Amino acid sequence: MPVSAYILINVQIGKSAEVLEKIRNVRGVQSAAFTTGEYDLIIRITVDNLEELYNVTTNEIHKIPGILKTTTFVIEKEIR
Amino acid sequence: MVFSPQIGKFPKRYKFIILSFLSSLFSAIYVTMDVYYLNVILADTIVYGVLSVTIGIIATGVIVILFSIPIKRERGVYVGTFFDPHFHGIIIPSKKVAKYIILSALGGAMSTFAYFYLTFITDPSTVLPLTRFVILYLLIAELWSERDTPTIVEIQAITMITLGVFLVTASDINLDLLAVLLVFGPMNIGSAIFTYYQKRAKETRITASRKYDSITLRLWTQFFMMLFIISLSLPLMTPHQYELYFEYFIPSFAFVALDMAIVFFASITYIRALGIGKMSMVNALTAVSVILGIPFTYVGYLLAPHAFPPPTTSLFLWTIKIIAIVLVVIGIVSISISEIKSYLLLNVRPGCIPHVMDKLRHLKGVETISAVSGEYAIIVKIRLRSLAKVYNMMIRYIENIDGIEDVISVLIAKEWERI
Repeated sequence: MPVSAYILINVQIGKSAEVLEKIRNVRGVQSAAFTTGEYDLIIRITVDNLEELYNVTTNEIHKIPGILKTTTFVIEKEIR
Repeated sequence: MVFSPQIGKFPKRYKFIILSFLSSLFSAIYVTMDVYYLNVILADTIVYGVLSVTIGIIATGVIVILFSIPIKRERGVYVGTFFDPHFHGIIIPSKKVAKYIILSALGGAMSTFAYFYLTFITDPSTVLPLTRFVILYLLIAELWSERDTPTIVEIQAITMITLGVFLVTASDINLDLLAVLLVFGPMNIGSAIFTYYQKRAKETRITASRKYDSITLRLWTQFFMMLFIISLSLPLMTPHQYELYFEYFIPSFAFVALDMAIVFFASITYIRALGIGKMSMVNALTAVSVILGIPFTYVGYLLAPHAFPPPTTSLFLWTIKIIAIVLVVIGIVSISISEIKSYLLLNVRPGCIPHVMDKLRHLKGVETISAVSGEYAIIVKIRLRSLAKVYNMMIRYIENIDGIEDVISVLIAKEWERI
């Protein structure tokens, strides 16, 4: 069962472009948006299951230099 | 493994404009080829229509087979994936999508039939603007459905583009009553039906992360369009026309196959653009083909003077054409630079989530509403034409929905997306 999530990211000042370049190559990332306000970057990701989401966030996203904090919101239901 | 290529290098709105422009470029080429064929090779629109759809399905089939060659099968990457990231090999559409495809093909057949008649009686720079009347129908359809109401900027831009398109035809309005009826009737109503159902089909999801791809949709649409056009044409064809069909099939094969391959690329770029933006906007942007029709007609005139009309030498008409082009370009630029997107992070009182989601879905500009687990209960993505509209939406509507405790708005400064 595929799982989609929003990951809200705070980025170290001056590292935005590098972080985006790395984030774009993370598997499952569908969109990435630079935002103003409480968070710097909001990404949307879709992976196979929760286990995979854990793997991608801890092994790939958290290891990108310049990322200070991530908050993951798993989507339970969606209307388009 | 969920099929998920990397997100693209270009922001979404550039992709939208590039796809629409490519579609109009391909359209301008195939319309010129159609006019050439009908004026030089065979002056019979019905026979040419049937030749086009039958040879067309072969050409499309060959392209789709080439597109289905796997590059990295385990990652779901095929040749076609480079033309549409959602392509994952050819699939049989679901019942719902099959219904959209059939209805769309019916609209397409209606419009194609009228199109061939008009191409026969006139030249490309006249035919192309006529196909754009559809913008008005689509605009009305979108005004009708409240969720997609065009904003003032969109209406201004669409008015400028449509006006520009009308002005381009200023020199060559010599249509008879039947042609006018065909334009306002089957041609553009058919085209509106075609566009509406193609968009519905493109937006349908196969899995959470994957939508229908333009290549699959085009293949099936073309298949059904062929069936409809053949069943419309056969009763009208005389024995002589049957003979002409068989006589011209082999000699015309290469030309018509190339023409229909270009139609195929015009269609997949068009369908992809429809997956991104509003129907009226895609059609307003592809109206660039009107401008592209002018040089193609000129090239056609140089190559085959008997098939294409000579370019006008009147300074007045050229001034009007240039004004028209400026209007179209400004319209396109103004629409492409005015868009505000934002995420709204909502805190909701326990037990109120279904009710709040239901209220939110009726608001204009709402793209997605996601119930999430964590610090916030709902994440809403909105797309509006101005900051004032975002403010308006928050104060007037969202804050008044019972159950919402707090709203944090996060404006998107720039976005990249896999389309």
